[in-house]
This record gives sequence, C-alpha cells and structure tokens, in this order.
Amino acid sequence: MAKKTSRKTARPAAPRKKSAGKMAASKASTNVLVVNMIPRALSGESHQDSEPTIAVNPANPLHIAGSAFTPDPGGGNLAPIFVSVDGGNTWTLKSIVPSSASDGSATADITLAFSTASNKLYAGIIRLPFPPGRPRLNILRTDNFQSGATMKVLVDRTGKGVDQPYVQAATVLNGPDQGKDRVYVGDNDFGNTPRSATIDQSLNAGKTSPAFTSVRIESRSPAGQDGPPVRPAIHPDGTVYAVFHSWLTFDSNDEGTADIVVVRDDNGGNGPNKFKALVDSGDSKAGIRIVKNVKFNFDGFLGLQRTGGDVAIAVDPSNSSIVYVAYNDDDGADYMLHVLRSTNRGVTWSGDLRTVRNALNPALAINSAGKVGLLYQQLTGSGPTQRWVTKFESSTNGTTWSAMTLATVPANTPPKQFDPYLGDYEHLMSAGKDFYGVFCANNTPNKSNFPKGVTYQRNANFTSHTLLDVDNATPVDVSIDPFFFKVPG
Amino acid sequence: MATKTRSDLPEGSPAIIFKGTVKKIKSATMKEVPISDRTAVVRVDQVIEAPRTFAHCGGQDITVELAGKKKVSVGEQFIFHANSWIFGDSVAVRAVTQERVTKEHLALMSPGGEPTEQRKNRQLQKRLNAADLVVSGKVAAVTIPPEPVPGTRGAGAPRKPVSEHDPKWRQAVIVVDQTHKGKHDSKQVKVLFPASTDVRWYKAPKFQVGQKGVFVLHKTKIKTDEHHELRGLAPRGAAGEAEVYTALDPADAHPLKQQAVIKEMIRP
Repeated sequence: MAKKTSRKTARPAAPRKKSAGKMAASKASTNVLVVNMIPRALSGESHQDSEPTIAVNPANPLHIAGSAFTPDPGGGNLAPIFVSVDGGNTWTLKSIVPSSASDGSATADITLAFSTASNKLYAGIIRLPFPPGRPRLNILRTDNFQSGATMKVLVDRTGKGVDQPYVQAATVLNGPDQGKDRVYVGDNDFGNTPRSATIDQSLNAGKTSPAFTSVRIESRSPAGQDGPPVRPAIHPDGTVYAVFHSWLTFDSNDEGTADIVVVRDDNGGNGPNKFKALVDSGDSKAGIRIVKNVKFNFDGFLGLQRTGGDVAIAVDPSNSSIVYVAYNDDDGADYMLHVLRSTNRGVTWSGDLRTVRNALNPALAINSAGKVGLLYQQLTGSGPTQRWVTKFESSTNGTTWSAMTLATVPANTPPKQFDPYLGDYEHLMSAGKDFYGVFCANNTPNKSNFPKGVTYQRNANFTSHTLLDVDNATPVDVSIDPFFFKVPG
Repeated sequence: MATKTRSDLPEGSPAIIFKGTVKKIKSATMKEVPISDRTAVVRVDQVIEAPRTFAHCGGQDITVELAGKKKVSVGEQFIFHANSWIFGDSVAVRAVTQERVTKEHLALMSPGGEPTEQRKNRQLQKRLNAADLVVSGKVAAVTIPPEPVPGTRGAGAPRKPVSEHDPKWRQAVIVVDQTHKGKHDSKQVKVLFPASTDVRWYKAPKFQVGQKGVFVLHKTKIKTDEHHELRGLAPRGAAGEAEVYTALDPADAHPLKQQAVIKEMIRP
C-alpha cells in the first residue's frame, strides 16, 4: 500500500523514480514569446495574481483575453480581464467583469473562451459576493472584448453552490445551426449532489437571451459529490468530450479515491441522450472510467500550492477520434501527473504516455498538425532551494516528448497571500499550428529565471533583479504575476 | 453642479475621486482607448481618494471618459468621481460624475491628505455604521463550532458538499472590556469568522487567542441546514437558522491603539 500523503506539507521533490515517456533531444526553439502581462501603469502592484487563463480568438489570433485573480486596480465593482490586440506582445487591463468592491473587486474563479468564428468572448466565473459555502455561478458574454462595456450576465445561479466553472465555446460552421455559438461550462453543481459533475450548455449562446441547460454527466453514485474540475473539449464536427473526477470515497481527513471519467456527445449536446455516447463495459454506465481508484487529498499541498486532483483534456482539431487526458493523483508522498490518449473516440485508452513527478496544473492542447502540447508546473529541489519549474512539452506521436523550460523561479518566495498560490489551473490552447498559454510565477526580473527570454511591461531592473514602481525608481516587492507565452508550431 | 447621468456603470460609490484640469478634448493618453467626443486628456491635480494603484497619478495626464453630455472646455477644473477603465502604459477612467470645482470643494480638500487613507477611513466608517456591536476586548478562545446534540435537528446529517471555497468556520470568544456601539448582555461575545485562506475568505480577520483589539461585529442569520459545521449553533427546535455575530471584512478588526479613533467615528 502506498504511503499516506502527509497533509499540509510540501512534498519532497528530489529526483526519484524515472518518469514515463521518452524525451527527445532538446532543440532550441526560436521565437518563443514570454510576456509578463502586468501593464506598466500597475508597476507598483504586488498582489498575488494567480490562477490564470487565456482565450485566443480563433477568428483573429491577434486578439487574446486573459484572466487571473487580479483585482480591479481602481477598487470598483468590476473585475478586470487582460486584453491584447497584438498577439500577446502587449497587454492592458480592462475592468468589465461583474464583481463587488466591498469583496475585493475580483472573482473567486474565472475562465474565458472565444467562440471560434463569432468574435464573442464568454466567461464562467464565481461571482462575488456569495453566501458562505454556496459559490455563485455567472456565465457572461461580451460581443466586443475591447469595448470596455460590462459583460452581459447570461446565467446567474447560486442554488446550493457551484464550483470551478470552466468555459469552452465554438461556432457551428455548417448545417442548420451554422453561425450559432455553442458554449459548454464544466462545473461542480452542489444543487445536484451526489452527481454534481455538470455541463451547463447553450446551443445558441450568441443570441440576446440564450437558454442554458444543466446536463448532469455523472451516471454513477459518487461519495457525496464529484471533484471540482469538470473540463469540456470541443471539436468542430460536433463532438464534445468532458473529463471529471468521480469521487469514490472521501473521509474526514479530506482524503479520498476517485475514478477519472470521460464522457462524449456526438451531437454537441443536442439530443435526448446528452453526453452518453461512451458506455463503460465494466458497469454498462455512461462515461468511461479511464483510470480507476486514484488517490487524492483535498487538503494536500505541493509546496505552497494546494492539490486535490487535477484533470485536463484536449481533442485533435483535425481528428475528433484522438483525445488526450492529463490527471494527477497521490503516489505515495508525491503528486504525480499522468498523460493518456485514446485514438478511437474515447472507447479505449493507452497507459501512461507521460508521467511527471510532483508536477501539477496540467494543461493540454493539440494543434492543427496533430502535435500535442502539455503545460505543467513542477516542484524541484528541496528546502529553501526549491523551485517551481514551468515546462511546455510537445509530441507528434504521444510517446516522444520535447520539453522546454519557460520559467524556473524560487518556490518559497513571495510568501503566500491566499490559496491558490499559483492557481488550481493554468491554460494552454492552440490556434492553427501555434500554441498559446499562460502560467503564474514569481515575478523577480531575472533573465536566468526565464530561459526562453521574457518581456516585462511593468518597470523592472534586470541587472539588480528589482521591480520598480511607476516612478521607475522605488523598489516594489516580488509577487506572483501571470505570464503569457506563445510557442510557434 | 454635478453631472449625473451614467447608467452603464455598476452600482456603488465610485472608488476614485480626484481634482483634474481638462487639457484636451476628443483625445486619449494611450492608443488602446477608443477616442470619442467624451474622452479627454485630464491632468490629475490632486488625488483625493483612491486605491494605491491610482494614488500615484497626481501630476500625471490620464484619460477620462466624461460623464453626461454637458460640454466641457479645455482648462476647466472638475472634481471627478470615477471608476477604472483601462490600465496600460497610461491610465483611463470612466467618470460617474464630474463637478465644477467650487470654493466649498477647495475648503474641504486637505492638501497633503493621503488618498489611500481617505478611502480606508470611508470603508471603516461604512462598516461602523452597519455594525450591530462594536467592542474592545481580548480573544479568550478560538474553537470549532459545536456539533449538534445527538437526537436534535441536524445531528447525524450527511456532510455537505466540499469546496475549496469552504469558509472553514471558527468561533472566537471575546471577553469584552468596553462596548462602543450596540448592546450585549454578557461579558463575553462569540463571533464566527472564516479560517479559510481561500481567495474568497483570506481578507477576513483571523482571530487569535490572546489578540486584543476593537472588533466591529455584524448580526448575521445563517441557515444551519446549509452549513454542515454550524448545525450545532441552531437553538433547539429552531428551524435550522441561527443568528450569530460575524466579522468578515478586513475593517472588522483593529488593534487596540485604534480605539480612540474608532470611538470618535461611531455615530451616537
């Protein structure tokens, strides 16, 4: 039996057993772009801007939106998003997300997605304030993310609480629904326990007042509820996958076991048997249990970052039969990241194609050439020399991986302001052959921390490794910032 | 005279107040601002009240989207009440109101007043006005809220959904030295607070045994049916509801040395 994961302690991260997956010889990649997203006018800020996402507009990849736990710089009733109109080279902050000044002018969760052809930006947020224990779901839309107008509220639901809304969107490209935006928000809806894994979907989200339906994608009887992460992935042919953490047990120490379950819908969620296309041969229930009985600790930590069971999913945009999943589990005292693949629409699955010890926040994307990208953050070293290493890996066949380090930063500074320290997720996506992503890290201006280079918008002295206020003279404390990156395909 | 017309901005008091001089109409200080008839370059003459991220703007040119439709002229001075709009290389704000500067304004503006302190004081005043009980005292104990008595409502009920946003309620027992606002029968008062360090709750005061201070407390009705860990607080026979004191805002706990200032701020 594996050793019980110690709670609330940083796991040791010394090199251990060999990880799965072959590593290709490191090839210097040119033109990798890494940008600190904090604008110059906010050079004096030292907030913990953790848990980032980005959304690249597939219709115009120069247009990119980003989010993090960044509060409104003006302390008002709208939370901001990051906006770039030049492909991520420069960023501004625009406050357009409903929030509350008296509760910190931010959100308690936020994800973003552009639809593929409509230029509309959608958001799934936990809106502040909310009653204790009952997080409030908002699904939002703006038709012009540059306009500065407050995002329109499409769904506002508290109920018994909704957690970790994760939005994905696509425009129907042909057929009778051509031009309609389909939006899928994976969330954990406490109004439907124990089968709480849910997709809130609209098949015409671009219209003035779209209807959203809560599709319950858990077909078994989990231990009280499912886990927080429910992640959808959309293919242009109407296939939609989702992966979630189906809890089998959960004890009073917040430790439990779970199955990693993948569901699929072949008609975009438009039919009587929504997300029931995959049936597990073991129990004849909808949803394939691609990995069974993994361990998790909902109160565990890797370094200063809380853990609890991460999942990610990506479908090949040129072949909807190919789908990758990443997930985490407790492996003794370590937090192990695994990557698996199906090449037959989720019916059968590979074993581990790639494992990474003490790594979390997996994010996956597949580009138009079928190359898969994997983003994660690994805790390395021990004691005061521990570092968070953010890596992007890619593979054309799923077995041989090429890795690049985007950032390697001290893991124990700055001190944690709140949980999550880096975020319960980060984000990766593709547009054409290019990969776009975002991660959060210690923002010390030190070029050796960013092996692929980095651009800061905020004032910084890379010689003295000091952040500077708007006067370009007064030192500013190190903090956690979001970093955008682009890797050409 | 104030221009007060905007309905496209969120409710609530604007967070930024400053005195500024209009320098250029139909213009902006950065390319990301969509220029219109109502955008103007304004020099910030004095920041009156603002969060830290705007407080440095004194003496700088920023972009203001003007409120209302009244014509303004280059050189005019206004008191702007604004919300943030765009932060990039420069700053753009959206005015909710703008008032021409009068002698009364000038008399009220204390030169050298710290804008972030002004904002903090206004937030504290708001909390004090809303408070049901303000006391000075010492935290004698911090406990997990009691479990329900076996056989009573809520006892043995299944554990409620688990979320990373769970407040992780704790109960602080404060031994009261002085009551500054409201009435409380006992020398002790119990206060619920979230021990969670999640992004939702980290700003709420975290009470420590032995902590001395001034505590700004708010009566709150909590549905104990919806809060597994609070079921034991419901009075026997009550319909799953408990009235408790809470302290959820950073302005709800202060060091004892603030007592005189806070007493002064409490309205009789």
